[in-house]
Amino acid sequence: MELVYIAAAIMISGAALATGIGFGLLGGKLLDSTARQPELGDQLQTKTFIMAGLLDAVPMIGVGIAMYLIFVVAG
Amino acid sequence: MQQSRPAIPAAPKRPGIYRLLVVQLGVTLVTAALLTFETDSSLALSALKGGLAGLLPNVYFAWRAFLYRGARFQRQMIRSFYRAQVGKHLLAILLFTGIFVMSPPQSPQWFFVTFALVQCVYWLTPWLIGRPGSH
Repeated sequence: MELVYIAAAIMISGAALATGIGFGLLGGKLLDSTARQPELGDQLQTKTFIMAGLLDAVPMIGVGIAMYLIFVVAG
Repeated sequence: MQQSRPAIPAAPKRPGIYRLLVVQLGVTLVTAALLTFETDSSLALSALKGGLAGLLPNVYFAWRAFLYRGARFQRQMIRSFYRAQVGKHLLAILLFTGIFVMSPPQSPQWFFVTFALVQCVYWLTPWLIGRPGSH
């Protein structure tokens, strides 16, 4: 049973880590691009939002499966 | 000495991100409605809970991410994006915990299927936001 909790912890922390790395890269590019072309700021922000959503969809499903493991499989 | 600029909220007009949220709500409601008609209302309730557990963090994310707009506020914009992301994760975990502790869904399978479907709507975002009239 402990293995289930360890698996869930790895999934949640992996999701957070991967999203954090992706967001760091994405935010850096947004800052860089907005500094280069301020007039495109709104468009770049929208595109960053799209990319953030795409980046985050699979980790969020991972968080969901981790919650499933904790509350349904182990519970 | 550089003075900090006053925080000015974003203009009310936002890009077509609300279209994405509406589609996510639609996916939740359609799944729940189909389950109500085809099987059992308890399965539909499970699907509804799963959809809302996926939708509400996204609503928070969309609101927080677009709190600041424009190149003048780029640092606030980035900070707002990061906070939106952290809040989205925490909110999702809190919602899951709350639902499973207070009213566990009858069908965890449909709960997670609807949750995953709502998350997968993000893959349609380039098409949804890129359509005419979304800007």
